[in-house]
Amino acid sequence: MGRYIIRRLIISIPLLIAISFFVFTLLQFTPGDPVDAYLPPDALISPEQKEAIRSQMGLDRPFLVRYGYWAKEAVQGNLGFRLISKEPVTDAIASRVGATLLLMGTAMSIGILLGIFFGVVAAVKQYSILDGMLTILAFLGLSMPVYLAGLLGLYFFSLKFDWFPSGGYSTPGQPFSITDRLHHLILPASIIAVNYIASIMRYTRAAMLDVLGQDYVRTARAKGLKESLVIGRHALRNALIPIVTIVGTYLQFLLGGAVFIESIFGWPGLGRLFLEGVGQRDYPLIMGLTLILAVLILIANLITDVVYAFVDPRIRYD
Amino acid sequence: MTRRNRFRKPLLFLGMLALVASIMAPSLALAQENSGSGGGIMVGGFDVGPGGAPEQFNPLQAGAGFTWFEKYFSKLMLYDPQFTAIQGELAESWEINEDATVYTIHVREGVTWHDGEPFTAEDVKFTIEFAAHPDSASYIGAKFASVESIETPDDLTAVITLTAPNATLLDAFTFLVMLPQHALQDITPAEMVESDWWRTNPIGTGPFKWKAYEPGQYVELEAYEDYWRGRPALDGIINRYFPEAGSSVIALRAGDISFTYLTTDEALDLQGDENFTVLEGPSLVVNAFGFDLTDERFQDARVRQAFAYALDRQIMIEQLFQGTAEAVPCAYLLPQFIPAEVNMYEYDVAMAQSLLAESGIDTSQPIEIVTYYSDQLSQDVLVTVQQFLADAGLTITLRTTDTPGTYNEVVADPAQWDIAYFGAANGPDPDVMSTHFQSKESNPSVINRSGIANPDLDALFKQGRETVDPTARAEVYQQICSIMNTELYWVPMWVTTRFGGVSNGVENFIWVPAPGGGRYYDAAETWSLAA
Repeated sequence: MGRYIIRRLIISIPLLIAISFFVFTLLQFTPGDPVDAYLPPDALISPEQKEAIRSQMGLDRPFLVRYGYWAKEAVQGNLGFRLISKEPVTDAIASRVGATLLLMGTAMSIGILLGIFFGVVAAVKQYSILDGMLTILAFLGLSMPVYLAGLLGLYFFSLKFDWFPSGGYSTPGQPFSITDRLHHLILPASIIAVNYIASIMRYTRAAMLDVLGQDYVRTARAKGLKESLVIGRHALRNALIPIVTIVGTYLQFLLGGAVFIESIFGWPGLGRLFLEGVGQRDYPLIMGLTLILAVLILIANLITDVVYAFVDPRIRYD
Repeated sequence: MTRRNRFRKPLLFLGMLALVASIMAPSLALAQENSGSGGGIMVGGFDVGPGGAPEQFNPLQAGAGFTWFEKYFSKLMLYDPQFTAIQGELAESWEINEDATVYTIHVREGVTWHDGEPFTAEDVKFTIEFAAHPDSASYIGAKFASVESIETPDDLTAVITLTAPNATLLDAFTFLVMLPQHALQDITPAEMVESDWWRTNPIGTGPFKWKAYEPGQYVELEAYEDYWRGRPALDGIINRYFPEAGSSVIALRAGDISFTYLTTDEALDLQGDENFTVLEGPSLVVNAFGFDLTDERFQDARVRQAFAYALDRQIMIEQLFQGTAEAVPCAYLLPQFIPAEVNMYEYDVAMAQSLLAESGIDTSQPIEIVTYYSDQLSQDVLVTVQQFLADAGLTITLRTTDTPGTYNEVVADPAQWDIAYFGAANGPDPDVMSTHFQSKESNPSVINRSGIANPDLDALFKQGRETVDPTARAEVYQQICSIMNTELYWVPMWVTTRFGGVSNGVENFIWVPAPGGGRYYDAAETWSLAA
């Protein structure tokens, strides 16, 4: 197992170089550069002044030189500075990562727990009214675009019912408190969770139905085991294997998956930072975020593969 | 075992209830706090909309955001809220010599920086030289390029000598925030561009001083006790960021903020609500269609005039803008710059057709209109324009760029565009138009994307910059308007109305739209929250 993990990590290095080079190259072909994105179209600025800002940002140097310089610094942990605010990219990311992890972590936890729970219920009570309702709700949850759900959620739960604040991370000007943070967290996290609940529920239901038809489940029942033990220990544990794969692919969204909700709710997270970076053509920020996301996705995939070995004794690496 | 289980469920339920209750509690507590008399903290979306520059903290480089900057930084002068005249702010008075080459500025006595140091004429000299330094990469500093020398005979007087006459320098001062020499003198302009001073501890002379910046969330300022007009009525003011524009109006309606910029639809929607007041004013931005004059199809003035006659501007204003825009004869809107005789190019499709026929333009060739405006209203405008021009016999294709940046790149290259639809600041000072209408030969640093080269315009803009007397100066710009109106290098469309919404719980609140926001005296020190 140890050797397998090391091998996977070594393969990651050329992958990361390829990804970063690819993104860097793509950025060269996006129309508009940071100076144009930064200045309003009617800014009264001469071409010479524009050129001065451009060279001050280092944009006048050749493409490969800039990539080489970026890569050299990135290897040493320096992701450069944001082009406009000059804030170090690592600082910008560090200051946002907690907010995103909190939001997505909460949303995914709700999604996984409720998704598996409803999935099991739907499978055990297959073709019942409950199953039908859960299935309809799941399709609703899957097909509702998240930005629409976000705006509707804000409209009803913040404006009409006044249960939750209208976005934000905390009440401005108030000292930090856990209840205040939770108060801001619940609505956006629940809205994101809907999608996860729906899709995990569908997968769990299918996997459970598959397992419930297996011989060993019939054997377990024949032995006279209580139904809760049959479902909980014999069926669910085996049904979890495909679920782990699904959840594993979701892990990558932990850091970049909430672009729309973060924007609608003014949540100061990485998804929104990324969107800002693209809008401002903030090359160092885009590169830094891409690199970190790539690293995390590679790690998430590795973790998924390792967890397989624990969930499914048939899987062995080496 | 079973008995304990039976107890656990209600307990769990009670526990959850308690959690929910405690989570709901803060909103109640906050509501009470705000209803206290006097003082209080106002929360607003001051950087929402086209006048805002969210999370940009360098006012020498920012193209917008002045409404907020002016809460903690001050300028020497500001306009009045109607943008009719410039009044003193940190400058108590000033004199200008006859040919507008020497400006003598008397700064106010008793003004202190937020750290307690006195504000003096030395700070004026320092700020101008700092901003105008090429390393500051400041387009605002560039407005002071003609400054030859600055002398400070005493602490309260700055004498500014220019290399060439410039009557627009007062307007330039309404852009330039004063910076503290004592805090920044050891930092070079180049270092200052990269400095975090702007977002960690900026020192100004405004009514509020810096308290905290929460990235991605808000900036908080607190009342400056020694503000020269007296301590502000509010204890503090908070600028909340809304990356998604539509959510700021929800926050306003929910009572979480007291002010935000509104789109036309949002404003019309909020107008009937008795808890809010909708503020409005002309945007000071003219929307126009600009031609690429290097394209020989558009070198014939008849083609440009046909374009104007083909569009029914009145019906577009009534139906698309619901009356919230005003048609203009040239790039200007303010009445003092409009001559008595102008052609409003009333809708006349037959005239458009005959002008096109006379010009002999090849109408089978499609013409592309490019814009950076991606909002629904502008898209509706362009589709309508496309239809009107089709009636006149022109085939139009539309293209919207994803960002202003892309647009800038497209219109920088004549080979890439035919006609552009855009907005350009047209005031308060009429000289803002010179950069669009002066020829590159007369001044290589102008924008002039259309490639306009008219010696009469060059001479008139020069004359306008050299004329100090307001009446004589206005006449110069009337002549400019007249040339714009006949030549139609741009087909001017309208100046739209822009809106803000404020909660009726805020008293003495003043806000008017302006390109880039601010630059007028809004008496923020008198704003207060109703008891």
